[in-house]
Amino acid sequence: MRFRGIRTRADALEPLARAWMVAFEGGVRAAARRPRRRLRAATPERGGLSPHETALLSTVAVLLIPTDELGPGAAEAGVPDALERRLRQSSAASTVYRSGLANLDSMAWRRYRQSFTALPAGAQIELLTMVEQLASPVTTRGGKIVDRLLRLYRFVRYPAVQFFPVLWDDVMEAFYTSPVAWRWLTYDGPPMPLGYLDVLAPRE
Amino acid sequence: MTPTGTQGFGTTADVVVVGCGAGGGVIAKELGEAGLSVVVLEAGRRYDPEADYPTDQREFEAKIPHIFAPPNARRDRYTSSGRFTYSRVKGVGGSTLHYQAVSPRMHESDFRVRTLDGVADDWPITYAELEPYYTRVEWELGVAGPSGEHANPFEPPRSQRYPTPAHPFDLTNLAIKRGADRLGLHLVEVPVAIPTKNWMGRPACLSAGTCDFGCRARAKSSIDVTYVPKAEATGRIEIRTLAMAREVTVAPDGRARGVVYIDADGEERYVAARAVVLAGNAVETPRLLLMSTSSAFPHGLANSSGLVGRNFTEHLAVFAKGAFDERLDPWRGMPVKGLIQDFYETSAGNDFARGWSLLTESGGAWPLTTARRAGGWGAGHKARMLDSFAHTVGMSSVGEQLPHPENSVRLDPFQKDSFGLPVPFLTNRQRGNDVAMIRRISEELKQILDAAGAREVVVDPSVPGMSAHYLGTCRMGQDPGSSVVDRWCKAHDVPNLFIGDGSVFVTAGAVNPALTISALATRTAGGIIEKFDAGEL
Repeated sequence: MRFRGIRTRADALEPLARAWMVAFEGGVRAAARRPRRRLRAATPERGGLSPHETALLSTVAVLLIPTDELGPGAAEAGVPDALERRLRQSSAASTVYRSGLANLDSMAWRRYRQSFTALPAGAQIELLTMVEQLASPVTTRGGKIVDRLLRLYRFVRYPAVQFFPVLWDDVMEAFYTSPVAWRWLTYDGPPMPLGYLDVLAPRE
Repeated sequence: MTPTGTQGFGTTADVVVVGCGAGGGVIAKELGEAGLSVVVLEAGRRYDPEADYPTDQREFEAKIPHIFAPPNARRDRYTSSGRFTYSRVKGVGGSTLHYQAVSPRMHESDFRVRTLDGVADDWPITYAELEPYYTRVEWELGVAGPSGEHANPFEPPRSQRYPTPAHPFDLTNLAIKRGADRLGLHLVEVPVAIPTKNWMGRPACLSAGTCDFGCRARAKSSIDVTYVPKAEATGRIEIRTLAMAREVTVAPDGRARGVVYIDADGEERYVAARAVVLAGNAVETPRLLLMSTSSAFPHGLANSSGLVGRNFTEHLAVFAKGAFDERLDPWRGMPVKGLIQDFYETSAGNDFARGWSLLTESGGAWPLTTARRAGGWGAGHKARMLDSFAHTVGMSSVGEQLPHPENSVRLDPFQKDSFGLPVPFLTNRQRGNDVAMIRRISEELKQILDAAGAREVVVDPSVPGMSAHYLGTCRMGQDPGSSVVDRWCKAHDVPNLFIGDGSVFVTAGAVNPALTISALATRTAGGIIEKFDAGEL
């Protein structure tokens, strides 16, 4: 079938991320508690997000598909709202999102002593790249089992690592099924019920 | 071995057919029209195009992966030795619900590979014997194909033209044709079971390109909208859905007596019949035979040759993509439109036997699907999207994998599915001839896309199972020692047991097999009807 999980391509950065992980692991663990407390205090509605979580989610979504000279992005397509609507329908998804967002914010606190939302875009992108790297397969000298254990450890220890591919897929889904993206790409869908009476020319 | 308590509750039919796809659905209709009563046991459900195929919605791409997904993942479990992807659809219509309806005929040489090339085995029937059945199925389905100066120069002889005219090429095919022409290859319009004219009450194809995910317009001639309504119109066919066959029972005289199945409520039920037809596909049919053990058949029903489940063969599928500078808008029209058969036969220049077909393949080139393939995120992702979306065309191969007895479908000794039945354990390794052919196919795909002017070409490694064409596990033959069924697809060991799916293929050929499965099923139905008429069943 054609539908597989997303693939991460930034293999070149993997050694960098590994070095970062070794250097900062302890620190992240120590810092993790502070922002988590902050988020809990906001008491969101069941399944929904707190205002801070909403701001975080929106910031990350807009980083993933930015508005730039190439065209519109997640903001114009209403992706943050679409994601929130989705979370209100699924408490399982909401759990993954909230722990992932909290973890991301705690990394920002540990590294820059600031919330993720307050960071300059360059630092935000750097943090997201690290999270993505932590999600990719590991190769150490310890062999396959050690590699797998290390990867599993990362997944459990850093909820953001689990969260990132889920978020990215959801962001793509919300963006690429929006009229904004379809206009950007000049896609004349959906396929049915009109079909394409002339396969050589765009639909009227 | 009828389970206690079920005997009195069973129905009796002339024939019970297991599976309602390209084989079973066809056989049911033919038997019903001949006046026989048939119960069809189908493990999946019915699909309603309007309700089940949301391809008219803006979010259709988010929904299509779920359309044919099983209600619970354990229902369709399987295990494999090595990497193998097993894909099929359970439902009324079987895998034709999902297929792209590519319907070329096998070639004359396919039936005589031992004689011609010294590999595998000859079929016990010839192309000429199957030709009338090909024609009959093509007219039922309204197959669209080229004729006259556009005809495929490599096509075997036909007694009649294609029922409806070929689908015209779209931009992707015109691009690939540039490359094929430059290399002297013959890219022709592929025959597909998607009529280009209104056909038997269904509309002509409207080129929506959603074939893989069910045709909302019923234009694609899947079995559920062609043979099944005709079968049910006879009033003699009863299709029981969500009915998972568990065992073919055998009478003391060695004849098949009926089929035990598990219904939607998990209850065990029984249908008795004068003849049994298995058409579950080349995995489910041997699985059911291997599960049907008895004192007379300790190694599985109809398995005195030991070949039930052996020679599990697929097609060698290599996928390639080319990115072009110009916009090609590949989502318009059917996913597969072009066919190249210049490499079909064994060539002296190759260090391997037999050959392959090439198809142009541009399915699923929609925004979300393209984005998932594009990878990356942020500005880099957007740039890749602009590069690939509307600019990418695909090609694929249907290469002939040679049968090998060690490639097999067996019962997994440990794992069970949601019914508590042993799951199929699949082994299919690409052997020497296969590997050499895949290498040549990959080179050829790259050459064609390069010659067509692609700025970037990616040829993916071939993953076993990806063809979704599964064949050969109960093969036909004259000799009961080296085959499971005879030339009428009747089991050598059991006088009233028939096999009506791709399991009976002796060799795989190098074309999509659905049309051949339906043609063979039509012929097998004819044989069953004759036996009823002669009082043998």
